[in-house]
Amino acid sequence: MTLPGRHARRVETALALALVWVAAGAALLTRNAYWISVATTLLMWVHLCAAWNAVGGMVGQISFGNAAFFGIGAYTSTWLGAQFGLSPWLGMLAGGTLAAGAGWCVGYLPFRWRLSHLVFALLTMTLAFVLQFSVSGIKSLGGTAGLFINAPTSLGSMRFDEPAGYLIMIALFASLTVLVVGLLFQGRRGYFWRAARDNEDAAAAAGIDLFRIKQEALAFSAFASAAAGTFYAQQIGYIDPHSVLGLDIAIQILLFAVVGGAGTQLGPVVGPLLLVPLGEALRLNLGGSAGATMHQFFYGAALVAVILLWPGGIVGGLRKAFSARRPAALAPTPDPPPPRTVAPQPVAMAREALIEIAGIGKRFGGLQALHEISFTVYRGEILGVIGPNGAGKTTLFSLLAGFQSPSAGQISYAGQRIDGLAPHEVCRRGIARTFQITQAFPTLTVFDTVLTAALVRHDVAAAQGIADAVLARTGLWPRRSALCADITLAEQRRLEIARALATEPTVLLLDESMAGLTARETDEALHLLRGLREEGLTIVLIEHVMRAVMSVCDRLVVLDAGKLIAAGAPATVASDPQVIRAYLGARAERK
Amino acid sequence: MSLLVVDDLRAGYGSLEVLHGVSLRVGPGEVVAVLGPNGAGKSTLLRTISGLVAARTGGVRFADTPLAGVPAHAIPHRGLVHVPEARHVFALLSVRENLMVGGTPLPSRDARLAALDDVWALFPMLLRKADAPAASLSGGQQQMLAIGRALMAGPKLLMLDEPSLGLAPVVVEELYAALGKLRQRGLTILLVEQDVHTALDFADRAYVLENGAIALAGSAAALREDPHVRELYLGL
Amino acid sequence: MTLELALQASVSGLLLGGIYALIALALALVFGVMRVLNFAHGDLLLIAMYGTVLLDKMLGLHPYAAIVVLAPLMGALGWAMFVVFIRPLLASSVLMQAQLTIGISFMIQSAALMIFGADLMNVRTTFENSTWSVGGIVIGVPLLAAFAVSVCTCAFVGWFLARTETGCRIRATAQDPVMAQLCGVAVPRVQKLVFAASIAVLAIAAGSLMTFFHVTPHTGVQFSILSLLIVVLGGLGDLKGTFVGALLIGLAESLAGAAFDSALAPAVIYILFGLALLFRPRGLFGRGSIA
Repeated sequence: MTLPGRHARRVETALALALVWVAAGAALLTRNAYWISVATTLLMWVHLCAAWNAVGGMVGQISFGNAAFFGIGAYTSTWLGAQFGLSPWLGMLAGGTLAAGAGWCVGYLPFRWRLSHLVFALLTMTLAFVLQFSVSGIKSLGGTAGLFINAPTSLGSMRFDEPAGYLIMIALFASLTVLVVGLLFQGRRGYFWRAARDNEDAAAAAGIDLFRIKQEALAFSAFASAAAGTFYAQQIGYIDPHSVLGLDIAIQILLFAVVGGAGTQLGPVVGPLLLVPLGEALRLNLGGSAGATMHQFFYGAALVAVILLWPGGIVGGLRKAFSARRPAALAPTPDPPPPRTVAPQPVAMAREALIEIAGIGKRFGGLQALHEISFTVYRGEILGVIGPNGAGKTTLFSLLAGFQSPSAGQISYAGQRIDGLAPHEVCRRGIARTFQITQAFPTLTVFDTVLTAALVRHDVAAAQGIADAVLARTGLWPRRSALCADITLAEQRRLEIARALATEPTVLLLDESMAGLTARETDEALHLLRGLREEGLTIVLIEHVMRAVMSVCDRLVVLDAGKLIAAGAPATVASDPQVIRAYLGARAERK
Repeated sequence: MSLLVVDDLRAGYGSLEVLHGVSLRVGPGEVVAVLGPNGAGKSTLLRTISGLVAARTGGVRFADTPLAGVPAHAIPHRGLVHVPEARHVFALLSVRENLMVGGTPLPSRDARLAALDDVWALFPMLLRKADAPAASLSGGQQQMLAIGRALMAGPKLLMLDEPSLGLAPVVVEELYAALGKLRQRGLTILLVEQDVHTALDFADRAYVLENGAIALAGSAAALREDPHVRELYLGL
Repeated sequence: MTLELALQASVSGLLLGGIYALIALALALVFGVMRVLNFAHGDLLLIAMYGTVLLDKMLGLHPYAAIVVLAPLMGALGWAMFVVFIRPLLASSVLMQAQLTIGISFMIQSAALMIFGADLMNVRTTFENSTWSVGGIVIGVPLLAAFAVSVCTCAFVGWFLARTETGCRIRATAQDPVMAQLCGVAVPRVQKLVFAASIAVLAIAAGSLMTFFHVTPHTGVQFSILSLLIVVLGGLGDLKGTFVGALLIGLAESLAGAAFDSALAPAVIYILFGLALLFRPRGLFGRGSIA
């Protein structure tokens, strides 16, 4: 059984590969050394852009410094060849490994500490500059004078007499990169990449280990870029800091990929395919110094135009144009799969404490958001967390789900401490949360959203089964092919719950899932929650819609100004004078 | 003749519609309160009136002119000033500078200096801290500063969003005493409050908003006795 | 490195840092008021520098006189650039703005290369070689004058922001644009004015620089990166931090250049920058917005 959309992704990979070979083939047919060399350059850019795209486009961590990896590859293989006579093929592997290591180092702190994307981009740029200037100053690496490669032509030394040899080689390299990225994109990784790019918090809450998938993408990007560096060195026969480590190269990689369409498989191919020949044509037709630089002007203008007018690049823009013309074709919906039968949970006689919150406090600078909060969540109950605005309810959820660490106190789940764990780890232990702001992954379909969450712990086949069942359970099966951006508010809320359910949680943390729903939609949502409780799920919810809270919650916990002021059955809590005062003001309680 | 007329207003954020057709009026010199549980849309209502949120359908008329299409920064120049939730004082500016910025709609520096004297008279404790950075003020003082800043523009209608939020009861009393003085001067006030009873004690009339629509309306005296209010807040 | 050399390098470094400060201040102000990080900032300076050269060649204007002509022209350019390129992207992410302005940088760089060629150009003035000796330290007079002009301009900007009503409104807009609107401040117009003014200020920096420096098409990118470095180091949006950061960068650059092989020296600056990004994201004084 193929996943919806997977076919389209496979077609795109095939198309990208075809374009690479069409370009190579067309150039070979001309038998013209000039065009062959243009095609060689073009395909090298395709290779570099596809490598950049893995980390910059698909995962969404833009890099301003992929030239650093390109340069590491070029210098490593050249130096090893000059010093030890090492074959450039082995030198390429060495350079690739070194570059991957450098990538891992650059990404380590930004990804661990979840620093902003701008910081990561600037750090990659810094790496490229530091390398460029350091190499310029090191005599044994040639300094600013550069290094020459003097090996004789042979396959073993990656040098050819015929320019066609280089063309075929780079076409193979580029194909390999495009293929690897394509295969990864079609599989589990692709779902994680897209989720991370669309919404990192929601991805983490679904159990995706952001640090690992980003580092993987970066390491791959670095390795592939370095391989191209070796190729370039062997082809040109000369390297110097500016030509392999310069900012111009890094920016041009980004430029081609973004104009083509970052984050798409075809983008890195289409970008160079369109811009490089046009640049060459300008150079030929204008001649002189104008010709030599007009292409740069044109590239800059293309980037500006794309960002202002066609974000998503050429490929992204074309895709939108096509999908706008054809109304979303409703795939013939087969009968929904049978609802997942769950063995009815025996009603526990003794209440089992599932989450223990003890003495939790949280400070933000000078502000004490939470103070000495202690309560227990029992297995199988629906617990409501209520309180006036600014009481600290969302902060409490952030602490429970791992998005923040408490300043004081402990949180234990099933007897083990979970405060301080990363969000994806908390999710893997069995606590899943939803977010107030829905539309978690705007570019994914309903099905893909749920599937992504299920893929964290299962392979594709099993995950698909889980996704089907969860969609049926939450009533979203008929809408599974719709984009998250196109569904109604009530459906978005249910999708948040579905995404959480796909991680097979024991505890569900719902953050204001009833806000803005009509009376009927609220009733349906409550029905779903009661059903989930019957299946054994424990639910903690923050809610303002009091009628909903009162009718579905077994117990309530009331927060006011960061303190716990009441806990107990709804009716008791609602007549608690402190609670009345918190909501209605000082004089209400006297009534 | 109403100073502010809101007519069947629908507004929201992105795909979320928060106000589903709200209508209300505020007459000159009146104090009108807007109450309701969290998430009902009270803040959104004020933000739509002051131009921060675009109205989808329906309209707002102030002093008999429609506000449709008027950008948010032009609205204080017409005499309608909004003091948002959480005060939003300019933390790094001094108290005096905060107030002077509030006087932007006035035609000249002299006019602003005159307005400043009025504010010092109304809030003497602000004068004592005139050159201190606003961030160093206590919550209650910041609220006074936010109101003083709004008054600098010489408004005909003042909209206050939850002025008592996070303030100790004794500070809330001081605050409402100051508001009382303003009311005596003839200022019209539209008040969103979390503290229901303080609001109903102070206001002439009130509307209760629930889920983006007016659920109850009437004189403050009538609503004070109405059991529906409590039901709305506590869901019983 | 002898003490004398260190002292000499420090002095020239600090003086140059003062000029960097003016350039970086313009960038910091734009970021502070509208949260836009302009990666083409140095290329706009480049336009002013070539403008200075042109005015010298065509009209024989001294660089400082050229400032009077160029400042309004640059201001108009800034106005146009804001309306066409910056305003549509005010709501976008910093990285989108970065990519857009990088594209603009490419365009300016290549246009300069096409129009003026790759050779370096400079302006000959009567005082260009005069120096001033103080206790064994040699200071170029043009550099000193440029430092004075730049620092005075920075002081003027600081005074304007702190003491005038408009300056107060600009600071309010920088801190809380929504609240500023609710106070009646026409924020869209403030943004336009601040952007245009910051580009006009570049004319002053350009005129000062051209009294002792040269220009090539590549100079723009160098200054873009440099001002970016300084602004992040000083703390995004923190003007005093930017000023101090500029002096420090000027100092570090000069000392590194004296201590190490001149090709290696810039690496030191970038390493410092990388460390600052990671461990002090709020800048020198901890007052900037987190990058």
